[in-house]
Amino acid sequence: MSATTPTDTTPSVEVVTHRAGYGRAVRSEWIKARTLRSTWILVGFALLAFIGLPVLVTGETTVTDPAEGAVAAMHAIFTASDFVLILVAVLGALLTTSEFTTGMARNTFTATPKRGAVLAAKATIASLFALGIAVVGAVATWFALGDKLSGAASLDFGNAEMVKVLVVSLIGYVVTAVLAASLGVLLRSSVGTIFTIVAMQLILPGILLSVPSDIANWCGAILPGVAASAAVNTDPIDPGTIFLTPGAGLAVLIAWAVLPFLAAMAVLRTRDV
Amino acid sequence: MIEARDLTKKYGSKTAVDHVTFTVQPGIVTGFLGPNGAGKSTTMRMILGLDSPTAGEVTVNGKPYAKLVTPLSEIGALIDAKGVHPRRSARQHLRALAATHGISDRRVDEVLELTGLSQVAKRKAGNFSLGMGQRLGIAGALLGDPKIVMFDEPVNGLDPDGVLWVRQLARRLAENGRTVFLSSHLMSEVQQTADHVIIIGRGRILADAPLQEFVRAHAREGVLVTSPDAGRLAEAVTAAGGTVQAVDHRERISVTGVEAREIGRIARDNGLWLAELRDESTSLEDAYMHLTAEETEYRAGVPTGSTDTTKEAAK
Repeated sequence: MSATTPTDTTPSVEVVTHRAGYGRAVRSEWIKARTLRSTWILVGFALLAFIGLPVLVTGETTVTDPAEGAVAAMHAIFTASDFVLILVAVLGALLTTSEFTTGMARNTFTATPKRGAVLAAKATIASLFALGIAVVGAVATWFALGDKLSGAASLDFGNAEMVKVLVVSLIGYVVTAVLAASLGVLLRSSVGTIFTIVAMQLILPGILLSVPSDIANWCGAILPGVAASAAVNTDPIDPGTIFLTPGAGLAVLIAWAVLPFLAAMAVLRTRDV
Repeated sequence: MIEARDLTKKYGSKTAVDHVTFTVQPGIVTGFLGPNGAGKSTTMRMILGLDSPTAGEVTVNGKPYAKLVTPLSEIGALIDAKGVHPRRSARQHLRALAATHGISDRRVDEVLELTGLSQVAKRKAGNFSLGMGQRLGIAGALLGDPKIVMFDEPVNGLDPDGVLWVRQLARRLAENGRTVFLSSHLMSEVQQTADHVIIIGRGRILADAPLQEFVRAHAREGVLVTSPDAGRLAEAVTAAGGTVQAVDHRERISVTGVEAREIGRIARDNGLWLAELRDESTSLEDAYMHLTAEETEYRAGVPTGSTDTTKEAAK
């Protein structure tokens, strides 16, 4: 590379700059996310799992009640969520942890000194990727399952229970993305963040819900995945079992995005980059 | 203009920057000089609002950094050439930064051209050499056509071509009326570029003066001669074009303008007795070393008596 003499440092045309706030931070974060191959590899694997798993495991339906069938069909479409959500979490976590692990954070926060705006922009991009994966995955799975979702097992968008399963699932995707991005800011470590999410999603529910301890059961019941299933639960809750009501389940699920986000915001504003 | 007042940063019980007050003026190149660990980078991070001061304050064009509406048009900084995602291309890295201020792709290509990176713009930043990384950092700093540029150790790891390029760039930016603030741990580097020096050691400002003034105050030259024939030697040296000053002792004179070796020859040719001949010149490098010697935190254990070797190394 030849060292050209800096002939002229004044720009050819005046450089127009605009206020560095949330909106432009979103555009910047979108460029950052889409220009990394790892982002698209994660999206690819997420969709592969989203569509592939239901195709492999969904059998011919045995239900005869169309109302029950529609709800079961929607659950079938989201069969792979436990795994896909891990990939969504990895994606969301990398949006924030990579800033700190690569040192890019110094560039990011000098360009946009409003740290809250940067975090909000990252949470927005993480949520959009999560929603994108969920919507594209769900539609593709619907087509892929084809005949298996016919007859009594057809989707019925007039069925409130089924729509609720869809909406809560989508909320779950957004919550996971925001939670991962926020944890990434709090822990500043990719491994730590991803491990925490895997533990919460896959390891802890089984342990906490099965040990004979009320405190452990309560802790288990408020885990995001468990709260999400409580939110769409239609069966009566046995007296004595610890399980959230649908309303409480939804509230707890949303709190898993809101509280870590606020904590990340507070930490980001006070801690040195 | 950058103004720091009583700026202090403590990490636990360790004080990295200790009540630092200075102003960086527009239109000139200001060198920020100090040994490694003296607090240069911490000061620069506080200027950019990345680290918050424990006490005191610093403003950029009259405002704290966080209050700047379009920071990239106020101050462009190269803080860490490695602070780039290694798997993103140089151009996309700059586009992401530009997007925060709505700066056009055309300007992105312009700074790539200016820093000589156009050919490698599509390559991943992680494959860049240190020199190319520095250039990418400088390209990012220039994106918003800022009024102030601040580079932390910009010539670190650059080849001679690159060093020259950064010097010329700094001069050019200052000539355009910008505030240019460069840090370095090398006096020789600052000496070649800066109009003004601010020297920091162990977090405290040790000197803050125009370079010429600093040179006058700290760089001395002269040869100390002790001779029982001092009077006659003084005449002979003056005849050879030297300037002679009397020193406290009557056998001793201080000579400037004639080198020690030459004085020895003059003495021999005139059959004069030389009792002692000592070069007392101090380069700016020596002056800086001396100034920061007590303030250097990580000093190599130089055994006493080998000062001559260190002097040689410094030259």
